[in-house]
Amino acid sequence: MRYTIMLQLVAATTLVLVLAAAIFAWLQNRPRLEEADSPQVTILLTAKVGLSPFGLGRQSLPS
Amino acid sequence: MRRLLMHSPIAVALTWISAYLFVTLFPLLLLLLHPMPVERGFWVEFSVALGFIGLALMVLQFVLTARVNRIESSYGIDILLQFHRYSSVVALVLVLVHPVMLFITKPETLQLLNFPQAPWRARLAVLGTVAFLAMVVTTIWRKPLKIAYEPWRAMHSLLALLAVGLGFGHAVGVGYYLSLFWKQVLWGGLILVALWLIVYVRLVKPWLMTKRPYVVESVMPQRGNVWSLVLRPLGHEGFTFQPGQFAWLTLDITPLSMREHPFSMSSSGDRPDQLEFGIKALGDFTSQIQTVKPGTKAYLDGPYGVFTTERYWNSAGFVLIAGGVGITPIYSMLLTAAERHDDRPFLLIYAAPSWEDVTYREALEALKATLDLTIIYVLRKAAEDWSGETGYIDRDLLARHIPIHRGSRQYFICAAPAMMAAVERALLALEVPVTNIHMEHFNLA
Ligand SMILES: Cc1cc2nc3c(=O)[nH]c(=O)nc-3n(C[C@H](O)[C@H](O)[C@H](O)COP(=O)(O)OP(=O)(O)OC[C@H]3O[C@@H](n4cnc5c(N)ncnc54)[C@H](O)[C@@H]3O)c2cc1C
Repeated sequence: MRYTIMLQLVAATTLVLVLAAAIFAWLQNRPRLEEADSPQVTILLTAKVGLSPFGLGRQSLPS
Repeated sequence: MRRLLMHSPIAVALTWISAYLFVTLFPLLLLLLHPMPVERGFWVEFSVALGFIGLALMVLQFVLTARVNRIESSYGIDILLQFHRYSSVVALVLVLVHPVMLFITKPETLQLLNFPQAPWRARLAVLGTVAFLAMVVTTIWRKPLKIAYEPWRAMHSLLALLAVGLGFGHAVGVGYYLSLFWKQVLWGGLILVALWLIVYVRLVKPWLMTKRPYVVESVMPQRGNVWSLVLRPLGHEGFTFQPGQFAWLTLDITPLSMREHPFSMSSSGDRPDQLEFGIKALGDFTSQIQTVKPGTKAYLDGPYGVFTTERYWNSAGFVLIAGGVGITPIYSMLLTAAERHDDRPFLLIYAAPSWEDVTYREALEALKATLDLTIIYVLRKAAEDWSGETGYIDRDLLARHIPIHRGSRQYFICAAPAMMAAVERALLALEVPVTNIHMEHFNLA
């Protein structure tokens, strides 16, 4: 009986852990500001960074 | 803490669960402080996160099994070990899913399994996983694999250290997240905590125990192939305990090369100067007890356990259910209650193979003079003139004897695993509240 309750608890906490891992992965891959689609934001950003609005995304940044 | 547990076990459980989740997720949380990584894709990050959670869970197992008194005093050692088993399996699954997810989403990573050519970080991962797998397999199937308890225990510690050490080496080797110096320090610190716990349990604590030796005063045979081992503290005052608790016993040998076994004290909890154990000769260690000479040195680590009447001051009385040598903690409860002039009713339902095998029979009968004690013996094989109960303790038998106001008593069961499970089921069917049932498992592994 006690072990069954514990098994359910372990299952529930494991679910929380896996969800946390998924959130972590999402956070690390969340759409970045530079990649925003809106032309206005892009222009604003490029104005600051001084890049062409077509060179989107971090990959195209000069290193 | 104890009062809180009695009043709200749920509050305490929630606290422990939050602590468990926090400790497991904290290292991952710290990794978020890492400067935004080069994008590696959701599945890679997910897989890495599962790997880190698996590693944190592995480290946590060292805490669960280090006999930390505070955790132990909330739940008892059997519950803790069961949690250890379940959460280790979860850790293993996460550790296995971590590479499999990579292999599926980035098939080129399969090359990392080519051991001779793979980089060291991948080799460490493979070796660590194999160690972890071996540890779980030899634990779940210890008996079919015919591994004796002591060598298994030594191997278990070694494999645990190897698995965690190699896992950490792998994470440092990959370096992606652990490349920052202070993060390595943090994870290194966690690993050091795990190492320290093993060193503490296996070396420091035994060394402290040698400072508080005991001496065997006598070894006396009892009914049912049980031997009474009486210990006296040597140069210190011993310890008092809550009746029903147990201690880890080591005999004669230096604790550094120790073989320690858990046994419930069978004496009164208020007598620190004379600790007594009732030990049934079952295996290689317990069969040697009868040959132990008075004067032999002994060492104790204890007391431990939550299987005790002491926690239930307000209970109107107790129902104690024992099978065979499971009488030892219960005898201690009765003896202590008698010495304290406890006026509450005690009902003992005691199963034994035969009348001759009823351990402490005479002493139990004598307790009736000072205690409101009713004893129902349940014999498997009874003589023809036996008018008492026979067979097994089942629902009907319990219904005949336990009070109608079920929740007015606390129920303590100590017996062989099958009997305990059956009695627990029967009590629940008779509407005994689940929080009033307490059990002590003698069989930990
Ligand atoms: C909380 C608790 C209280 C106990 N109280 C008593 C008691 O009052 N009287 C009594 O006779 N027995 C008691 N036991 C059982 C006792 O500890 C085992 O019977 C004993 O350790 C068996 O050792 P062995 O070498 O003789 O037997 P083996 O044949 O080697 O082992 C039999 C089984 O006992 C367990 N065991 C063996 N060695 C250890 C060890 N070092 N640590 C933990 N488990 C082990 C394993 O499950 C093993 O499969 C208690 C056990 C626990 C957990």
